[in-house]
Amino acid sequence: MSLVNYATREITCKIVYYGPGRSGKTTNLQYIHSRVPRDRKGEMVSLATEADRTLFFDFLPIDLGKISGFTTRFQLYTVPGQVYYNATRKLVLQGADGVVFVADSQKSQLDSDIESFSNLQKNLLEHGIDIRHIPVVIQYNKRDLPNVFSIEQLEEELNFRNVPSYPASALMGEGVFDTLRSVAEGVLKRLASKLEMPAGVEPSRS
Amino acid sequence: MDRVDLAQIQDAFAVPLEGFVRETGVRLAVLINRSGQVLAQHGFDKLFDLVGVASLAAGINASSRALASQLGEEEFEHLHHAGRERQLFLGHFDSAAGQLMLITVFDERSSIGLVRVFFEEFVARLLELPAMDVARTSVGAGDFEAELEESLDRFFQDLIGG
Repeated sequence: MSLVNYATREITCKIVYYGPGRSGKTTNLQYIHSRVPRDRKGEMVSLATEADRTLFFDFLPIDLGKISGFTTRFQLYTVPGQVYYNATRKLVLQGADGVVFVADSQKSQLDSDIESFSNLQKNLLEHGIDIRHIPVVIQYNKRDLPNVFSIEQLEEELNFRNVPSYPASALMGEGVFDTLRSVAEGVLKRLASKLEMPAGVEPSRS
Repeated sequence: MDRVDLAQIQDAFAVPLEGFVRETGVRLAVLINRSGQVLAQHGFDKLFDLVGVASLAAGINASSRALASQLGEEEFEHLHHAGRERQLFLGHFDSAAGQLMLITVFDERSSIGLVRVFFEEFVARLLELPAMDVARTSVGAGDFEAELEESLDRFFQDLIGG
């Protein structure tokens, strides 16, 4: 749930990068971390196994700047993609304001993509969230590899809700910021639609 | 119970937190919600990554609750980790603002007994506060949305174009 702090004039939102194992969720965050200026980001925290697979989550806070006088911060999380870690995956999803689903475009990974997307819907529902009511963006990652499905084929298999989608090669950074921008916009527009000032409420001090 | 603006509540969080720090002699204290967002803090400076600590503690808390549920317990008691020089106490409680958690770090100048006693007092003081109304705002939705595109353009322009 977005936190709007009127005292310090800050908005904090949580974005979760979801998807099957090895689809490139951590790589997205690593690329963002490598490109965002130092004064606009915090430390990146990664809870990984010895083999560098995400065990609990990766976490990266970034500062998008001011909107209507509010400092807008995003907390980016990844979930562990491996099927085994569903309990922790569900925990990280708790309180998410928006989701980036990172799909692996390789033909051999389609079943994992579909299973993970269905797992996302199920885990959201367990938190009482209908996937139609939360901003979701799909990223078709690993476009630089051979043996990938076309975007049209992937759209047909995964994007039946017609949410924004982007091709990407996260390792090279292609599509990473398009994806982030899209989900950030979706989340903030949704937040804006809830920002209605009740009559008689004075603006809080800055 | 009157409902008030979040700004008032957040100011109000600071008073019991400072009281807790004074009574116990702890080094660091931070109050977070279930998602790990910081509501009030004392003692964090550039040496410690406040947001990192908050997100990891929220992870521990969420994990502990899920573990309790899987083992047939409603919830586990507070968590205490003791290191060579520093100790960490994570205490959670329910409030009108949902479940909140106090993270506190202390050394030999305090003790777990002291922390536990004053944690209960801290919770009692917080629970006396009125409920917060998160729906209120001090910004018009139209203005916010109008500025949104421009602000996002500013942020992403260099990153995508560079």
